[in-house]
Amino acid sequence: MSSGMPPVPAKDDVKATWNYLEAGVEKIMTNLRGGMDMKTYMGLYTAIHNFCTAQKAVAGTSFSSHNRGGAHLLGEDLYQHLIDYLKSHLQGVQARSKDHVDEALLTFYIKEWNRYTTAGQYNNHLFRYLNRHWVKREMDEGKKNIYDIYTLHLVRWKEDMFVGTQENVMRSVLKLVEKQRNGETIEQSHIKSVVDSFVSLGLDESDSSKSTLDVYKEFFEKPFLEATGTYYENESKQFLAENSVVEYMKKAEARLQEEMERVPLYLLNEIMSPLMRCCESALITNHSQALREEFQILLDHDKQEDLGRMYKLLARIPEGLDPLRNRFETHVRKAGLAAVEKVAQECEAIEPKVYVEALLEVHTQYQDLVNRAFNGESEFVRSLDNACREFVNRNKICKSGSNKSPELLAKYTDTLLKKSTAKMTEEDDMEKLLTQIMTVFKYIEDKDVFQKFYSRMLAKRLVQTSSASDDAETSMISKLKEACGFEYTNKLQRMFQDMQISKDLNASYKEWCSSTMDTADLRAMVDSTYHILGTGFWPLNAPTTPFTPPQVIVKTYERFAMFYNNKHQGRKLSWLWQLCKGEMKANYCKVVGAKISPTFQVSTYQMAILLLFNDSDIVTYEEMVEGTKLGKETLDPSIGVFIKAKVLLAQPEGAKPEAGTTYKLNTGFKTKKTKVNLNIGIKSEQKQEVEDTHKTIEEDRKLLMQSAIVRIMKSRKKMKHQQLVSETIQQIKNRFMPRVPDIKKCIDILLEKEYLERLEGDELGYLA
Amino acid sequence: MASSSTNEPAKQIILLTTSDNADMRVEREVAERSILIKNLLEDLGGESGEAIPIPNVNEAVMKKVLEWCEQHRKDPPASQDDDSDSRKKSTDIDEWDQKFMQVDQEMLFEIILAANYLDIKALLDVGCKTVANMIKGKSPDEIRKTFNIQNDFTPEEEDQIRRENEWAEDR
Amino acid sequence: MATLAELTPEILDIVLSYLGPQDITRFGRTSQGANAFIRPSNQLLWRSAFLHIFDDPKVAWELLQPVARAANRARESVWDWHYELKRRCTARNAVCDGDTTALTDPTGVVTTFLDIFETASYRTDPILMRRSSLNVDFLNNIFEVAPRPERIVHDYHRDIDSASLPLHFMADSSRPLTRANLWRRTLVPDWASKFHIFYGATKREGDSVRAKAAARALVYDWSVTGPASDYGPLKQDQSGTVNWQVLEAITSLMNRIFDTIGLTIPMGFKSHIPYYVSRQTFRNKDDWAGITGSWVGTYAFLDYRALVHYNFANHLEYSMDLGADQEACGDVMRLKLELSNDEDLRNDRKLITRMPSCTDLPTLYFSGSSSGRPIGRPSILVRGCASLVPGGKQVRWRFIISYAGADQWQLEGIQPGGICSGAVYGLWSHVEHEEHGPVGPFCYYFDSAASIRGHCLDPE
Repeated sequence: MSSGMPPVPAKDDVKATWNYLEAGVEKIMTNLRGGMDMKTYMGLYTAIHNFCTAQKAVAGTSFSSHNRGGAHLLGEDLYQHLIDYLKSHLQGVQARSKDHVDEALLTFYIKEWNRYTTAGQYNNHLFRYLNRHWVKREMDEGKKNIYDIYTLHLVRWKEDMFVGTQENVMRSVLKLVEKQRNGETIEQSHIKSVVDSFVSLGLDESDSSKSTLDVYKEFFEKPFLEATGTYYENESKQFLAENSVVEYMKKAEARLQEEMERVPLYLLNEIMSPLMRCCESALITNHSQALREEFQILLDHDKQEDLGRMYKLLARIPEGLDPLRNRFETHVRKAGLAAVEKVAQECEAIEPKVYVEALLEVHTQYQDLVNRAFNGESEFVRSLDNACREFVNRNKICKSGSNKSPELLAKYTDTLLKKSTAKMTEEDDMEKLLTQIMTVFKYIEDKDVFQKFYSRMLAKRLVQTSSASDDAETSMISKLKEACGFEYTNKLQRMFQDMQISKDLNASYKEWCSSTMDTADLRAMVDSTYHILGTGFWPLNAPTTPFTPPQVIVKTYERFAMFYNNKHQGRKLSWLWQLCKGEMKANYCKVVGAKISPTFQVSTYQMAILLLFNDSDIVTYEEMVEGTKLGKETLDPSIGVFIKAKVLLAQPEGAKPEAGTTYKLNTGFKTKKTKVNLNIGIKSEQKQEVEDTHKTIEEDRKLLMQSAIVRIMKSRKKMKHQQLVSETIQQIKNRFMPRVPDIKKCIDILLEKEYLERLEGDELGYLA
Repeated sequence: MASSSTNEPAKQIILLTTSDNADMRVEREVAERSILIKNLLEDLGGESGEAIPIPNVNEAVMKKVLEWCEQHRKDPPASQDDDSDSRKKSTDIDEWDQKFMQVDQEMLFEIILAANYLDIKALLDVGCKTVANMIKGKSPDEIRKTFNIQNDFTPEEEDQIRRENEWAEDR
Repeated sequence: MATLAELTPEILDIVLSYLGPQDITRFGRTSQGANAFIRPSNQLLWRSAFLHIFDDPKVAWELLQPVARAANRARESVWDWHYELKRRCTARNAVCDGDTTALTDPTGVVTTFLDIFETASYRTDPILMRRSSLNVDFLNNIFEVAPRPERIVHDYHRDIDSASLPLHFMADSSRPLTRANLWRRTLVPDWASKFHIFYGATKREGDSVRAKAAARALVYDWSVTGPASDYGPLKQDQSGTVNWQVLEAITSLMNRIFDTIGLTIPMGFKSHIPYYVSRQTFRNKDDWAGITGSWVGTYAFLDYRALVHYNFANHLEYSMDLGADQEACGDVMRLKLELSNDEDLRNDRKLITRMPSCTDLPTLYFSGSSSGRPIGRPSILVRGCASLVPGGKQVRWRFIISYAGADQWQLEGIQPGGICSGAVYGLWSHVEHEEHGPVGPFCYYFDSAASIRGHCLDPE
């Protein structure tokens, strides 16, 4: 047998067996490196085995003295002796730990821990027979506080060593961490070992083969977080006292990053979340007031980077951003209002382009800020939208009402889409500009007003063929469709279709003419084109003045009417003279420096006036009234254009258009242009148009509200007044924001018309 | 602690010394079916070439045990979970093991004791199953005969115990 | 020399763990030493023997809700494996012994079988990949091998041998059964009703007109339910607990109906174990009651004139034969139900009850509609709630059925087997509960196959 080890003792002698084992265990515990040979190992294992198997199951009646039945197993004595041994061993270790402090204590603790747990693993193998039978049986029978031998080692360490030293150990750990936070280099592995040791000591009470983090959480995590909180509370307070908020934010950001990186170095991953909460509380929550106060200053100076930093910090704490969003919204609204105020001061009648661009500039600036600094976060986007909606619909220009913005936006769109001699916008640019318009459009509350103006101006562009590009027009319509739906753009699309159909119609009309008329007739014919516009789709009114078209025009259109009626029987054509125009050649004079005569571009009304001069060089005002039947309000300005352009001369000179005045054709008319545009829109007409448009909007709204009310009542049959009002608002707020008194008025109208009736209480009923 | 040479496929031979002082050479992989030997080699390194003393098993039994280990060298290691769920406890034994267990009763018990000592769970279970099968379906008298058990009851006692346990008889 | 006697106790333990009670006791009879080894106090040995034949009761206990578990604790703490094994085998032997005379202790036998049933649990066989329960196999085996085993199942047919049948009121078996000769003061014990419900229809009652008449006499009696039992098969004392006798009568009638319309309703011991429908079936972990999916069921009714006649005729007038009519039953209804968190359902006046429930699990709300209705008929909307009955074992269900936009019927049911077990049985009535309104029994059960087909669920 091996050195130092006595021979294996008699199997039924507890005292001898334990004495034999103790010598071995002592060696494993204190001098494992000194060597453990196979004989000793097998000797110890066999001694335990032999002790436990000393009893026979069915031999004689000896076991019947045990009151637990035949299955009583041996081993308890050895287990108890081992406990006593471990207790006294650990007492010695703990006593020696008192000699050490700080890092030396850590070194000592870790060294002892490693030695002890290694020995524990050895013992676990040597005592395996005990584990397999006696321990297992005890546990199967539900005995408490019986563990396998390795776990027993841990339990003893916790009771006899950990309890007395953990406070000092933790103090040393925290000192070390503080050193590292102060920038010193430390031995990180010490801390990691302590963490591992604390984790190992967490045993699940109900199942000791499982471990829990309870010990680690209470004795490591808790004090660690407390120390962290205190450290950063002090540091941040001091730093803010000596530095700017902007500097502090950089510091806080760096500290948070540093702590996050600390976790994988020597802490348990489980601490990440509580550690971050702890740091955030000390570094951000405690100073959120100061940060928020800085927010306005940063906004005022457009410090995107610092704003981004602040966003990231405050986003980490619960409800950290809410106050920022409110401030941001107010700030953007003010910026928008100020921008409008500024352009409103510059000129009296504001240019649509200037207005829309002012709105866009503010939006673009803050959208950019939201995307860059606030991560495009949806709540900030909402704040931006709220602010924009406010200043787009309610600003200095809109003082009279929120319908000014849609009107100006529609007008601006018109200028973009109209043929302009200045410069053709590039297609890409056009698309970009249209997208910008949609940005503003999104915020417009009275979308019906925009629709009204837009469709009128589109009609004009189409009829006057002044549209810059079909592509741009369709693009705009599809954008509107996308934003507001099919119904919103239905009529606009029909207008477009009419133009296409008219084109085809004119072509087949030309064919028809050449096949039914001889060459002479064709030559005498006035060259003409027609737009056939469906009533109901076009926002166009019948002429406001009576009019007798000149004979030559009558002949021309009658021929077309014949063709058209052939094709579409039963359709009635009404002529919108106020929109018609034509060209006339002034054969009585020549373009300066050229051999050709100039062409006058005129309205049909003007044409009728000028044609009178084919019969006489001088025509009286009375003759004009008689010949054209035009109302004074149309006739007078039309003459005015001729006088101004010196096509006609008034006699006496400067006489007002009234009975007694005569007009003479100015045969000495001079012009350098081959085409002279005399078809100039009349100012008062334009103003009138705007007013008309607004008026029709009011009427349309009444109809919209009434039909919504009827629709609701039809399905509900009975309803409280107040409920009906709110339901109505719900249904039409996408088109415009209805005012409650207006809805009430509409209800009254419907009561009068007996669509509805008053019932008891506050209820209304539907009358079919 | 040194671990077993996992990246060395070459068969490592170890030496065992039985209780009757016979030296036996056996491949480490085969010997490690015994958890006792496996732990010992892991704890002590097992590179020294020193013989492992097996003080509780003699050569004849050890040979038999190693024969079983050789046959089962590639079996997956015994699962840790407990075998308390009796539904798994079928007394079926595979063919090779049945043949292997066709030994005289003394050897059967010696194998069981050795398996218990050497910590070879699967062999211990097969041994116990074999004994269980020898009890199964037999009358008390047949059991006594099989295992040479002395009937130490008086006829009155025997009758009383029979009645006490009547409930367990299958119908 | 090594012998059996040489083995250590730990090894003999292993040997005996491979054996059932018969082999263990026969071994014990060989000698004093062996007898001492196997004595009842060797609990681990007897536990192993027990588990050869029965499910580990711990599994079923661990599935109990806290209140039910707490009530069970006392039993668990004194659980003796040997005693329980012996008790169960003895009960089996009493029924299986060739002798067909009356049992000496029917109460003991049936309550023991109920206990076997209540500690049953499902376990997936790793090789056959099939869920099974040893306890259910044990009980079913008894009914296969024992002579005339149904004598231990109570039903409403009078059987001379039926020792547990206390229906004394049926003294004169030649008279048709009417309300006049129904004396409800003789009450069937709960254990007898329960065992009948879990066992399912007996062969005897299937052929018996009298059994039908007696069950109808209970179910169609207006006085059997009312506001104090939420118009369901509950005790009329506002306790919210199950009236087992009424529930038994309902199951008896409904099982008969399912038989005639050819639907295979889950029946027998296997279906009334909690989690008969595997818990994994339900995707939503909040759906403890196993609501979301397809349900099948139907209801029965009595011709209204007959109902009125039965309830108003007193014993002095001419009596009415309740057994004579054909059973009238409604369409087979297929419901698609879905768990819902809708506030409106929580606050739904019609889903609120004043009766107590077990709060271990929250009341669940659901809504759904019928499918498979004949084309052209309006679809039926369903909503309802499920809660635990006080005591935490059975599940209580309420369905409100509405069509054409108006609530029509209230179905008040009990799932006797507990959470995710087989069918829900109960009573239907009009939601407004006007006096003397129509009533009748109904039954619904979860249709796993259809639920998986309908992609409501993942296959198991």
